[in-house]
Amino acid sequence: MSEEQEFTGGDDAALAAELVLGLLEGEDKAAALRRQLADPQFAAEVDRWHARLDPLYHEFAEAAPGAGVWDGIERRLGAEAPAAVPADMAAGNAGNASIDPGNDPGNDPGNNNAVAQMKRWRFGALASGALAACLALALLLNPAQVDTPVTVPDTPQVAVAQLTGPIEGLVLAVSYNADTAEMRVDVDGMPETETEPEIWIRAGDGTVRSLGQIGRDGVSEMVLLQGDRALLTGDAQLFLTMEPPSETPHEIPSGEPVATGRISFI
Amino acid sequence: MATQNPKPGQAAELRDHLSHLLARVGAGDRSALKSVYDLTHAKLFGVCLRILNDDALAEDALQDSYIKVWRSADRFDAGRASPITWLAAIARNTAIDRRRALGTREYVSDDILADAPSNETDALTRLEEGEKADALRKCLGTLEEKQRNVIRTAFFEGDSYRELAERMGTPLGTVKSWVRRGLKRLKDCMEDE
Repeated sequence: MSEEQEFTGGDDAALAAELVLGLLEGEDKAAALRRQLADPQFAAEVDRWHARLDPLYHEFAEAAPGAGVWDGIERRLGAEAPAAVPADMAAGNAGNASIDPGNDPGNDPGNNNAVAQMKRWRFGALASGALAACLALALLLNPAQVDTPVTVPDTPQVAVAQLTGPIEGLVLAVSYNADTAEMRVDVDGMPETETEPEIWIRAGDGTVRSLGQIGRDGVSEMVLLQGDRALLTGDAQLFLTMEPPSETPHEIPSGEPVATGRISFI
Repeated sequence: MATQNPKPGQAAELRDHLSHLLARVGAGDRSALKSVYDLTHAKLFGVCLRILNDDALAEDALQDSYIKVWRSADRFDAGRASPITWLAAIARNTAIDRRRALGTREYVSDDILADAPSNETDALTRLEEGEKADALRKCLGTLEEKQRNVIRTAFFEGDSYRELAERMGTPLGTVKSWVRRGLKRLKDCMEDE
């Protein structure tokens, strides 16, 4: 082998390795992630590089974090369950509230939007210790969206979910208003594919039902049918699959979820 | 100590145990997540600390990592990755995301970019050392030093091409060329092994 040999610019193996190593940023990273989702051969190359480089993980030395880290994780897990939402957070709820991370100034190009969006959610959750507080913050930042105040509801009225998956950069932010049965899905980081994104509920009892296909980018809004509303409880999951284009919801998903998230009633 | 210092013969047993725990986490079992945390947090914190070089930031990234584990454990496939590698990759990606979100970083000395593998092998490390690790070590050893250094630095420090070029004071195109030549040689060598 000659020392001068290197991957050419269009070599998938090089791109896959660069993605695995984390060398790419911005639009380059977004483009590679879209390839990973849309091209099974490229995805397999990414898997092969993960496998090749796996042993390097062994070289990271162990270190002891502070004793409070697990408590922080438990608090955040607690914030995802309705029973653990503090009453004062619930009192900040409003029937027609929606979280719209897209309201933030989106200066980042391409994939950075999705990454930045994910970070906003993540940092918000960290700063507050509770997803509920994220919603409260969103309400504070978007007061025009709150028309009426605000009585403590008898039942949870607003749910949120963040759907992510193995494809970095693909993020769905979902908000659901149980009063009006309106669901709002904000998609970011969806690659070019011949298939269409279809969103599904997996209810606590395992029932799976399609809510239909949504837009590839930006905000899609829908009103849930009565039968679907009953499935959308605190133990439900939402997930996204890529399906052949269809005017009507499919009966069953044809492939693995590309993004998944649990519902959190606020 | 987080790990139980198992004997080498227990490697498969621990992998199976972690895989089983992750399956339970995927089904929503929080006590299983605590068990995963107890077994792996020292390793994952080491990953976060190496990339972020700050205890508080690394602890935040560690929390984020286990929340991601909680949300995505149902997608863990024991047939495709070892559980500790899957977990460590989540921690590494989370720490890199967090570091890039911060935009800047106090760089530690390049002295820590040890060309030789670390001698600090922990229990989980010893468990998963094997032929694959030997092949990677051997093949990395065939690279030119600068090629090996940029690849190892990208992996262990979480540097992008741009950050590598800044760190080394070397033109971006040169760094890319070193990386790609190194990767090409690494791939060819490992396919021959």
